[in-house]
Amino acid sequence: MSNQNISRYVRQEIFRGIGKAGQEKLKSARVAIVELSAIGTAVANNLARAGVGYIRLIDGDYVDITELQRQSLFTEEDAREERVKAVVMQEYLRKVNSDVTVDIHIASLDSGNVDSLFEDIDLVIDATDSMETRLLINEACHALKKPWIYGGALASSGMTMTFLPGHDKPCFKCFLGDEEYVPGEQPTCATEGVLCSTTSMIASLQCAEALKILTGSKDLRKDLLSFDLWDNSFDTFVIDKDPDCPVCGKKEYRYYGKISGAHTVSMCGKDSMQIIPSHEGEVDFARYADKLQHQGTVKYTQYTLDFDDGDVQIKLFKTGRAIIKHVSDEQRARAVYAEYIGL
Amino acid sequence: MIIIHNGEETEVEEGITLQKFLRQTGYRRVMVKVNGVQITASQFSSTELKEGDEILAKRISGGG
Amino acid sequence: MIYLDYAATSGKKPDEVYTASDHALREVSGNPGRSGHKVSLAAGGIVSEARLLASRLFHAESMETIAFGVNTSEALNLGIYGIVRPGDHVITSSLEHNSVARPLEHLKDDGVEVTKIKADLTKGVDPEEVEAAIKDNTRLVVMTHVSNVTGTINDIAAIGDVCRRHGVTFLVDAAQSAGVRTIDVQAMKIDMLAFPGHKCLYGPQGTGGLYISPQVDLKPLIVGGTGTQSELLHQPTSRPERYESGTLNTPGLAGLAKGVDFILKTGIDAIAQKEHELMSRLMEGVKEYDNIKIWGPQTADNRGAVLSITIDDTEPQDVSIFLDQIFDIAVRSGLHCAPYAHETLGTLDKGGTVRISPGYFTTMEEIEACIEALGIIARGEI
Repeated sequence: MSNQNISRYVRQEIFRGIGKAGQEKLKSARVAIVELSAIGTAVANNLARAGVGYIRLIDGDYVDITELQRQSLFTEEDAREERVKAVVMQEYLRKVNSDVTVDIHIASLDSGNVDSLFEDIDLVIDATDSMETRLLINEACHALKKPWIYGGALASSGMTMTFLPGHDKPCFKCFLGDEEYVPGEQPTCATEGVLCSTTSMIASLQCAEALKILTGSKDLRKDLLSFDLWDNSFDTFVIDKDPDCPVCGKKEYRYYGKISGAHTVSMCGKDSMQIIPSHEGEVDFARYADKLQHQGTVKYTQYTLDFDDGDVQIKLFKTGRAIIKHVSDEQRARAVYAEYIGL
Repeated sequence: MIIIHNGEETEVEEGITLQKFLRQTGYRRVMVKVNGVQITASQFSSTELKEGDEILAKRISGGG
Repeated sequence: MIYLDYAATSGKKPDEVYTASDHALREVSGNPGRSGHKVSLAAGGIVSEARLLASRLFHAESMETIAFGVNTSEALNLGIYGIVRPGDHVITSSLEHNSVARPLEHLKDDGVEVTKIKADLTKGVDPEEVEAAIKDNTRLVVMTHVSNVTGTINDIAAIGDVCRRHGVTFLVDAAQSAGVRTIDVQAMKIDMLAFPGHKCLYGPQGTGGLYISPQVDLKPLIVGGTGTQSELLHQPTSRPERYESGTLNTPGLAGLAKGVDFILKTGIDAIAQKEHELMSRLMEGVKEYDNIKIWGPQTADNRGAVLSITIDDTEPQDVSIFLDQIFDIAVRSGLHCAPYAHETLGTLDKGGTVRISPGYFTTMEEIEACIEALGIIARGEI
């Protein structure tokens, strides 16, 4: 809707970094957002308002009450009714900007659907909380030559970096070593907490870079940005390409085009799902129980650990395998595992 | 020998590799600068630390 | 033995296929998706890998669009019976295999109308004729991609476009094309694709599948145990479980996964190129004899690696027996389960044709030996 000749984007059009030409480019741009987490919902809101012409939301989960603390758009009613996040977002964004096309894909990103979901996209925004999904995004974007923007948050700290296609450019795996967490060791938002400020800050940083990429700006931030809102630190890291990088150096994909990562198995006849992590290990029940004790009841024996916060129920084995109870939905089970144990 | 890890002095064994130091400190996914220079992940096990090295290590944020 | 019957099944497979099936039988003997213990999960992993690779080969939207079965015939039955109802109209071609023709024939008894479009033997079915045949009650268009008798190629992308514009479901029989010609179900607007595992995907027999678009809902052919949601009295709606009742052929799919992987790594273009070279030489050699007639496309260009010939004054069956017994060459003679194709050719009453179908692993020496053998037969020296 415009008021005579003044477009709703006038504040962007007069901004030196975008201009009318840049705004036109945004209109024909296509962006995919992987997961409607706190970061994802904020990114979707920002880019839809900015007039990015096509936004694809990839998320298979439903709204949960503990996410309202930081997710920008969902309401108590959405949580009560366990509404599908992607559907709620689509409805909302259509009301925010009817010029923008919002498509939804109600499923998690996996090696089977990643090609179809990324091929016709100009830019991928990472809003997932699963490192496995990020590694898939990294490899897929490398193979498909798509730019993507990493964003990760925990407690009061966050990190973000843009990865551009190009044989001389670094990728996410260049600086991410091979060390994997033993299940239960990985600090997650469920064990360390997270602030709305952290996630919305990451989203804002990602969106600024997104606007630059989509308008062809020369002012892209090349470095990794890392901050801590409680320690008051803002650092940048230059990331060099690792010539021996398994992904962008040697093109040895472990996720893209492969079946790997955690498996979800439904328990036949029961209302539960099993998650089997790709890296099993020896979970330290005492340490893990310590982290969760204030959030619900935790008890453990030498074989299993049980956690119950009234909503989520997890039975964790020493190897890291877990049974998530009262879910019959793969997406929800994975989301719980990623949040509490870490993927 | 003494090295400086994220601003704090730490005692470590002579000639310890960066990989070993990171693992024993409990780091898993982490990015590292030694004396201001970024060390790529594949170099972790071949980088030996020396007396007085300044290590800046940041855990890679994973959550969303 | 010189194996030239790849159209029937692949005589040679990549080594990895054999070792994978053997390994699955010995080390991974669990029921995929059922028991949740280590070996069942490992078996599930094998099935998932095959599913992922097949979905990537055909550029499917996701893995769950691929439903495995025992062969193309089962897949075609699922696709046809799953969607066609009494009172519907179905369009097909005059080149179809019995696994398309027979289900349609039986459906005619149930009040389904079937239109068979006559195919041009060199150019295939004319998409405009398909369009002209569409009526209000046309539910399905089912066509072969490559004829198993003549190697004629139908322009499935063009036919897919016609079907999509008219809201008609399009099922493609890819028995002779999967693994040899590029098939992109999304770009070509194909709603269902039936494929064999054991032909040019180089898997073992007992494997095959149907790609089903997320927009198409089919009535399952077989309902029963799916390993999930056992408390549901009805067949689950989630895919691919809905279309996969009972235990899958895990050792077969282990081999199939390696076969598809081989194709993805080698590249369809390289495979098609090699087959073109083999077919060119074969046809060149055969054309030296005036009394050997080539049926269907007359050149090696734009066709499948399937060559139908007849030798004057010789029964096709006799030719294949001579080739087998005297020269140790395997080909297939007769009607090739495609009587309508032979009717279109005019060979239905003459015992059909001798069908020679080389594959990627066929060597030029084997082609030369075949040409020489045919020459001996053609010259009447037997």
